[in-house]
Amino acid sequence: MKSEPASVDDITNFRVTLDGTEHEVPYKQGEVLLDCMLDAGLDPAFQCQDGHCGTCMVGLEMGEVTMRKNNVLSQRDLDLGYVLACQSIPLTNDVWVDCDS
Amino acid sequence: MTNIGKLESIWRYPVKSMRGEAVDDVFVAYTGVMGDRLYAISSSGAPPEFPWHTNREHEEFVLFSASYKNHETTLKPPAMEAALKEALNPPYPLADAFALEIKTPDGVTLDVDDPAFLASLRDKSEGELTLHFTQKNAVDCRPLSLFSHQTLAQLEQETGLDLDKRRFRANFYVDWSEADGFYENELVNRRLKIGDRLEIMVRELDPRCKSITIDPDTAETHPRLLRHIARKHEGFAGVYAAVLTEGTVKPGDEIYLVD
Repeated sequence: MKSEPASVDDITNFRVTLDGTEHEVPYKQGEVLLDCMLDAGLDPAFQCQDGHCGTCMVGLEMGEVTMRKNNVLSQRDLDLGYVLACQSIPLTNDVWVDCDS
Repeated sequence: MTNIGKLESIWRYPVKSMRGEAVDDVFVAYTGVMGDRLYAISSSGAPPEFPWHTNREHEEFVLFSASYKNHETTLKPPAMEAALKEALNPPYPLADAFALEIKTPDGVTLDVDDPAFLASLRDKSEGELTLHFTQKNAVDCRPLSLFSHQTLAQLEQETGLDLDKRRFRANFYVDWSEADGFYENELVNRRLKIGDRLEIMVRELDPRCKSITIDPDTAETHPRLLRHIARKHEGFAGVYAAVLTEGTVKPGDEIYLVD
């Protein structure tokens, strides 16, 4: 499915798979995906929250994000579709990340 | 003093982030295991506080191996016995004693300072790469890292994964006498004596990163182990230690809890 461009205001939710269960997570403007997941009461793996440990790497199954910084993922990781939840801001309104991948 | 276990194996990593080597009967200085992480590759594209080219951005870096050309001279300082007798810090040999050969995953052997070595890494880095040599060990946080077989076994049981201990890149792999996994966590701020002379103090828990997701033989990665440690063990596995009294150690040395 092709991602639809969105203005920041259009993005209200994103989808998360965690421990085999899908969740619809409210997106709070300007926040990274990890913070939104934690605010929603989810328990994803994370540690440094600074883009250098890689613990929060998740598979981007759909949509587009931009990472504020990335000091740990390799080009191979990026090619496989991994992003850092602690650094990712959604760019489209159909973002789906898989914390199990 | 209470005997709490044995030193199972001692490892050093001549080039930071590359494959390590097990060593016998080696000197441990205030800076760590002699010959450990004396070389490192920096990248101008990496943050200045952690400028290293590592296996995190280049997973196959773990498949490069390194060996000192004069192995024996890199295990103990030449005047070690005399210096320790006088409670002196034994001087290390000059840099050329640590001449190093690299074996690439393709089976090519190169001197570490051969430009072809850095050239072979160039397409894996966004920055310019530079070879560093230091005698103070280019460790991440502390001079020594320690990891137990019991912790490895517990992680295998919890995750169902068959784990190679080398993922954890410790200097000392230990076997506790009567303790469960993660016993080393209880040793923070405790003093240990290993062998005849070495004394260390465990300083803090070892926060883990993507490096442990890399299979040391294939460089394949899977984030599951790291995620598990983050969610079940607060991100820590193994401990870091500082050296209080220098000395030599060898596999099989007894480990004593001093205080």
